[in-house]
Amino acid sequence: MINNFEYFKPSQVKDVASLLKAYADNIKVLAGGTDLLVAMQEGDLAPDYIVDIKGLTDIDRIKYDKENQILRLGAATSLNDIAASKVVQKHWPLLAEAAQTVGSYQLRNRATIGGNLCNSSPAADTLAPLVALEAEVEMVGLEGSRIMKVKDFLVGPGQNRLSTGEIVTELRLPKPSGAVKGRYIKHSRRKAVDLATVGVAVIAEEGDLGYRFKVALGAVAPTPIRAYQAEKILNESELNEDIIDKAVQAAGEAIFPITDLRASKDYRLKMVKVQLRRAIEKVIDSWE
Amino acid sequence: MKEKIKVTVNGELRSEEVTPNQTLLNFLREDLDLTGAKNGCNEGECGACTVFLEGKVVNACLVLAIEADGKEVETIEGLASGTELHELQQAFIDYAALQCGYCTPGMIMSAKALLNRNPNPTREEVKEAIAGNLCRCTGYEKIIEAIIAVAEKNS
Amino acid sequence: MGKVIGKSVNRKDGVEKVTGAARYVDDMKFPNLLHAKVLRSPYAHARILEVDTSRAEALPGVKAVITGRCFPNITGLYIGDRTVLAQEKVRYVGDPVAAVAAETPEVAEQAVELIEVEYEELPGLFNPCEAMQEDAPLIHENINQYNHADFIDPVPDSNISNHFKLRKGDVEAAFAEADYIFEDEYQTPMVQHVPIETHSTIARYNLDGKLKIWASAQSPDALRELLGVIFNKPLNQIQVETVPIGGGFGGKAGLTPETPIAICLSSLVRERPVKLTYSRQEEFHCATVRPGIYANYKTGVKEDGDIVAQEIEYIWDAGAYNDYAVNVTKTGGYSCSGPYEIPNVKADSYCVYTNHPVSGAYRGFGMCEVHWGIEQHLDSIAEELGLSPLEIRLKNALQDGSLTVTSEVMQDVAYSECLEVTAEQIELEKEEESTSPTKLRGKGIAGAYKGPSTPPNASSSALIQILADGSINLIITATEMGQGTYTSLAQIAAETLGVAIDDINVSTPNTDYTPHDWQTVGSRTVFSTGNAVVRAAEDAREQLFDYAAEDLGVEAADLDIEEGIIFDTTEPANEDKRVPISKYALGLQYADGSGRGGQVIGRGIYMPEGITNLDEYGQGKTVNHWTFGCHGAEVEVDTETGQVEVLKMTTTFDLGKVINPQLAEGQLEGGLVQGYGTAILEELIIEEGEVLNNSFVDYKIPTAMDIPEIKSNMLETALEEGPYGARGIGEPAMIPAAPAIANAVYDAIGVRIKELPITPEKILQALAEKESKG
Repeated sequence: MINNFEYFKPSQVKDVASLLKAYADNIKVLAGGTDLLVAMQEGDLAPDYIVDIKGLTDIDRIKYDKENQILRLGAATSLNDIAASKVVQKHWPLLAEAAQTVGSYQLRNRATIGGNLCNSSPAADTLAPLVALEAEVEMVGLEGSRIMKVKDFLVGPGQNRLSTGEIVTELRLPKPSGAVKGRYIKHSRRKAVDLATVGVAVIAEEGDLGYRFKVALGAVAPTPIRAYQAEKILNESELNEDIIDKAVQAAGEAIFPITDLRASKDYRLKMVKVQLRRAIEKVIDSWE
Repeated sequence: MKEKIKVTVNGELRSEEVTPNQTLLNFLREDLDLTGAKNGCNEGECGACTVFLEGKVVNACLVLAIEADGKEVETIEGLASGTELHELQQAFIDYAALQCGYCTPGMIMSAKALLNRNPNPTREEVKEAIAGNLCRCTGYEKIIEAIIAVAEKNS
Repeated sequence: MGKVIGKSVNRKDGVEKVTGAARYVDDMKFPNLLHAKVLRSPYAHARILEVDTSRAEALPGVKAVITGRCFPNITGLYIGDRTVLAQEKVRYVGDPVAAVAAETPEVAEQAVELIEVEYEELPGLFNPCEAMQEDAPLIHENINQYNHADFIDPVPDSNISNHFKLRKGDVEAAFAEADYIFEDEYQTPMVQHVPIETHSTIARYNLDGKLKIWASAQSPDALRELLGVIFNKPLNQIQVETVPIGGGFGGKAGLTPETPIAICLSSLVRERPVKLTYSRQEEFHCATVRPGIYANYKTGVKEDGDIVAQEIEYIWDAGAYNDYAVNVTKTGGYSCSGPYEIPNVKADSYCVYTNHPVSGAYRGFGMCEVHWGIEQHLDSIAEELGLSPLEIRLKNALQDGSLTVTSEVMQDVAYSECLEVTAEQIELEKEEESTSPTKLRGKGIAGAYKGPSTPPNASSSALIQILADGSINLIITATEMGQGTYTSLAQIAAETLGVAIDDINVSTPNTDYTPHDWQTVGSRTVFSTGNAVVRAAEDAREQLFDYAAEDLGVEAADLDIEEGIIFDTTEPANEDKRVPISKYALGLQYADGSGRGGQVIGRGIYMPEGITNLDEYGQGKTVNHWTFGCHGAEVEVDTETGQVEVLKMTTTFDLGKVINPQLAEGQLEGGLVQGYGTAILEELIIEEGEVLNNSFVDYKIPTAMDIPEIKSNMLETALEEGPYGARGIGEPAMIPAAPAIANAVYDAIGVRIKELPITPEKILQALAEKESKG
């Protein structure tokens, strides 16, 4: 049962920031509500104030900034809008693919990219792709705004770098320089509407020296992580089965999975390797 | 502590008072007595509460009533026009796509949303579109058939 | 084919359900309605030292607070082991300890949190194999005093609430003569029914002492009878109305606690109805679950595959209260070997109290649990003997003239045909190419049988009222929970009467007006209530013919009805002798304005004949009819991830007579997918008595994305006793799904998963063990 609260829906970011500053731990930001309202129903959260950010200008807009070659995703953009966006599908297919694996269709009409980020679950399906895509997050507070890499923004399960009085207003994704192939594999118990047991995001960007890989892994550490060593192995050698093997092994060494209801630590470790190999192979297949 | 909202429900503009912690589902069921949308889990997992908000299907259990202020809501009760069933409703009957009926209103709303955005879905697309609507009785097969039949009839 | 029977007529309740107009219990409103919430035990096993409700009672808006002390009467369907609320002890995490009725659900919830309970924790018993030991502490200290049905045998001073014993032939001698003896162990965990509608009830205790109940209850009459015991009331002072039920599957059968709790609360605030609807979380661990089983098999076979002896031990994890589970475990016992003829059988089925959630009836009533082992064990034996899964089954299958494990003589059995049709359709012997080198394909079949698992004298009744215009009310207490009761029974009524399906209206069960029906469980309704409907319709026809014979001057024996018109079969075209039934609906009228008789009210009752309780060796005929069938499965196993993809399933059952093909197919598909769920996804994960996955986040049931391609086959080997030959089908359709999938998995990868569900981790572990053994 949701405890009662006072509801605000300002149209100015500074008003949101003021409220957040004023009520600190006693206020929560409402975007899609798909995590917040569940937590409130279960009594895990009982804030006295809620600030709905959907009244902010452009907060749910997908915009490609040609000048800076950046994709700007308003924090309250729904995951369905991202998955259906032509521009996202074209240059950031990995993100479109991952967005579509979250929950159900009706849930994705509400769930937002900013919410997925701020909820900061290590298993969140969009986060490993955002890390792999080197996305940045814009945070705005009363003192102004700041930009941070998503990878640095995420600190641990449910924890991030957002300060009191700040909200995330936008995600920014740099446009890949060349052709890009990507693959997100969500390993879960059920085929639909499930949490990721393991999430594997792989992209390969075409550059002067051939394809460059970026790899990020979800649900296997306190935050989604970049598998730098695996990337290095993939990027510094001629690709063959042995190299992919080595990269997969390296990824396995970079993670710290846990045992929970959804899977054992050991199973997660195995699945990261299996699914990373499959994702790499699929990416390679798609450019060949 | 009540707040005034204006919301168009099944085409009718309503001025109502809600408390901020009231979900859209609770508002529809308790205040407007539109009990077609069901409370199956209260956490966005079962889809029994699926309704349209501004033309898009949502889990009404995960929407605050106050968020619907100034918006349009469509529930299963608004689907039939007069005594004429909507073609999806008729197809669900004709194909025996329901048993206990508890998931049916939400299921039909998801089906309608699918056909709105994709009038000619493949079987796989139908399955994806209703994956967020749990049915424990039918095994889904007849639901899928009913939805495809409506799509085929219209194409 | 009949005129109405055998046709896929539309559901009687279709329009109200597709429009959202159907009012389920939780949809019902009353101006003075109170809302109830329950305080539940956080301990699996503890003594209640003190309950302080004073702070809750003082909260504004709270109208009633009850604790176990208020209502001490004990009851149960087959063993009375339960009170409305826990008395001196709590026996599972979730045991209701106190309850509140308040003006709003919010206040009720706040009040519940203000109730203080002091517990003394006791050691918990979580494994039935340990709990059944002689030295185990007792979960029910009063077990020796509990009332129970005459066919239930609790073991004194133990946690065994029922020990069913079966002894057929001479097992020892037969084992000595067997060429091979195989032993095997299988397990299934507790699972939940997961109806999309959680348990819900509204009770109003009137000032004059009458009780009115609206409940999502499968069994209005059984509920009323048990409430009569709890509240010391004549049954005619209790009115139970069953509005549409949002899925039952056995979990809403018998007496479930929400209704007595609501009544207790309403008794303190008379004339105010009290609603209690379970949250999804409560549904998972405080409503009924399916018991877990530990199954041990020892089987003696001849070289040619003939099974000569079987020794079986079933140990059931039945949870904290066993008022219904005792009969589940008895049914498991008297059906212990599956649909096979085995001359020498020794079986012991133990229903055991544990500090786990309360178990009871769940679609299949013990049959899913026992067939999980039986049908895999058979495949293992077949492989050792070099026989195919089909060969060993056909070799031992029950057929006409066979004796079951209880020595019942079988007739009208088409189990072998079901097996053959399925094996042919899935091309059991044909190997399929997999889509990838890391994936392996396999096929499997599994069979099943089931009877309605009722006491021998469980009866049904029906009334048929013909109204002035010739339209008809069919009045029954069989409930509609999705399975199509109203429609199939209306078809039976229409066919027998000789009227159109649209002429029949089916009443909503209301124990004040509708006649007795034992329970809507056990796939018994088409069979048992169906027979009552046939008799009611025949009775109505006789009354009509009595009037018509006099009126038309025709022998009653020469009259018939078609499409609502009574006519003379000797001259069917004679328009003077063709009259609509409406003419006699209210009696016979003479030319002078006088008349004879009155309304045509057909009365039909049915109680199966020739069945009794079993003897002390578990021998005799206690099942009113059996349904046979099987499933075939084709799977692809990902050997790297352990994931099992069920590609195709075939379901073949002998329905005796298909009343409504579309609805029957819906039962087959729905049952199969529910069985698939238990095979691949479902289990209650319980740690020290606490259910860890009591939400849809971590208890996954199948979505539309998960289902295999399904092919259904319906055979019709008429059942002599069945209405138009029909047999029950609701539950049987679920039973063989899990073992069929497991057998297909074995066929694919050569490892056998013996404990449900078949999870990827179990597959990988089994593959690793197989590899390490070389």
